[in-house]
Amino acid sequence: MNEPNQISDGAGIDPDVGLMLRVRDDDAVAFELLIDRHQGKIIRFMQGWVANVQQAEDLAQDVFLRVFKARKTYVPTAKFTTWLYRIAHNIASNYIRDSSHRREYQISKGDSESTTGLLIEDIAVAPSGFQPSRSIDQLEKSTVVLQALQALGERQRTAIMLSKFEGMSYQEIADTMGLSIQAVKSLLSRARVNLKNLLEPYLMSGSPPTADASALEDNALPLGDKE
Amino acid sequence: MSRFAESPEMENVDEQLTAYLDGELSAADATALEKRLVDEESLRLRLAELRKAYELLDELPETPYSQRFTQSTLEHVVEDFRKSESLPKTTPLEGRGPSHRTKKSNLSWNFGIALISSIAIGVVAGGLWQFMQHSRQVQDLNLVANVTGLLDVDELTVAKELSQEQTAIKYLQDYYSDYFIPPAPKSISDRITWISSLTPVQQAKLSYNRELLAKLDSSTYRRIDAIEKQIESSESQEALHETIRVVGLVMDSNQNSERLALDGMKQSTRMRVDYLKGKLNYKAATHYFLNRLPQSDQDAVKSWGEDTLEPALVAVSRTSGRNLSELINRFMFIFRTIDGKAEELMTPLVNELLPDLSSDGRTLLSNLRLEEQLSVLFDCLDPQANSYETLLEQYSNLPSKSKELIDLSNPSDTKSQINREVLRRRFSRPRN
Repeated sequence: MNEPNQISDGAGIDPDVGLMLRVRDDDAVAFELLIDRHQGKIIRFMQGWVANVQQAEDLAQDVFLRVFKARKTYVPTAKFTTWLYRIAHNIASNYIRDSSHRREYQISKGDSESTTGLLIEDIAVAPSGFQPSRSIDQLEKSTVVLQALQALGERQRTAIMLSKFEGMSYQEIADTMGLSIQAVKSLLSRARVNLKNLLEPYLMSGSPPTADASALEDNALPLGDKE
Repeated sequence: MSRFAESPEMENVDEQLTAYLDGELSAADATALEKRLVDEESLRLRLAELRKAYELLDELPETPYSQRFTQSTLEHVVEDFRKSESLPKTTPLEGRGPSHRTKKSNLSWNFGIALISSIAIGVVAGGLWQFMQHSRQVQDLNLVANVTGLLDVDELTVAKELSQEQTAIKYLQDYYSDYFIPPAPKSISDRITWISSLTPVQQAKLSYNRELLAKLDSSTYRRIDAIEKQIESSESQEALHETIRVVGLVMDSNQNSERLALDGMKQSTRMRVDYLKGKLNYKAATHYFLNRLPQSDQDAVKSWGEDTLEPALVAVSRTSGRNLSELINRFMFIFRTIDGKAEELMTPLVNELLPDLSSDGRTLLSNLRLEEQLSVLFDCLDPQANSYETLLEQYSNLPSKSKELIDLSNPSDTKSQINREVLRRRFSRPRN
């Protein structure tokens, strides 16, 4: 497990840190390489937050824009991705916080906290009209999984995406999100449980989930967590 | 197994199982948990469920690599830099042109050019030499220079219609003067001289385009090559080249979704023309009213603001004693949240201004939608409304609870967050 303040990935210096230090010195080629290396992951991260891929790409562009703007203040005290995803998380949550986008976001979540689960049901049923117990194709399955991910609370979603797609340790997730390790542990556990509850009816038992959005919220964290 | 973790004990078990799956338990804790797993079937079942949920995330498709995304992001960054460095920070309706810039802002501008050049350096290195080594590319120089615009217009009819927007194109060439690649001469030997006469930024742009062209699939290449050939056999080839290059630059400076929206208009020439016309005119009008406004138009807008606009805004907002900036903010809030009436009020007001403007000002303004007209005019009348000094003052006047909601780490986000919070507080107060 990496400790904070290390920039080694175990096989030497984190190559992204080297690139970012070149970006700090206004090396444009290094910046282009950084975009090339991380664009796919950042866009996928943003897809966990917004309704469509175009919005996700716009937000991903904003992440790289902010990386460039902040280049002069970059200090290589941690893995580059810790810094990068902290920016991505801030941009995504600010975007959602903006009232003009909030409505759109809530529509993507089912337009109401109490119908979160029902939206997933709609998606699974609508294309064919059959009950969810039928076999769903790959595209549809990925849509249902994405919707389940979007239905999680903001911090649960970020934590599980960093764990799953970035392979970050609890310590790294804690550094990225500014939380304690215990809070990350709790978030990830709740995220797994909530994902299971949202997806299980379609993929195992064939019955739709009933919504209980309060259980998906981040504020159900144990007392003593940060924020 | 019940759906949600109901008890603290259950939550604790789930946390242990999750940490075990994530390899985050200590060796001792992992051994202890494994002993329990051997004995407790319900625990094994729960472990399998949590593992399965996590594995389902593998269903999410990976986003494929896109060179266009990288290029568009680089353009977005450069455009943002240009915008932040060239915005007027002077008093309303004064000091519009570059000749009025202060020494400090001139330095900033030079730094901007240096930055744009630095973004380009890696791409330019060797690029010029390679151009000269490939006679085919020298021959197809206009195709190379036009590639992004050709992809955007997609057909000659669209390019021809857009080339009628001469006023907008003139000001856009001015706005992009450090970027805009002039049409290449006809003779090959002149073209080689022409390449070396380009600025580093123009050369970088050309190199980017060259890379993009090389990555196009063969059918797309053939399609845009055919359009380029038609243009080169046309009498108005110079105007068409200028139009196409300006279209490419305008779309480069927009976010990726704008381009995707345009890509989605394959079936309708009319939609494509209207969409691009809107983009060209808005960008040109913004540049004209913020940076290039001649004295006569400055006087016209100022008089209109004082004699026509301000009394109307006072009437509609039913307040007095506010400054123009506050009136505008309040009006735009009403405009964006209440349909119909604000538009009925503003259309005749803007129409009153039009005859007093110069021909260019009138053309640019009248080609915009009402909300765009208002946005341009309000920024022109009150550039201080969004200045950082004003924002700082607004921020310092916010209560600490509101301040906590604002992320100060990014200037562009900070600006919109402060504006939102100020508006939210202002309009959520009960009316007397």
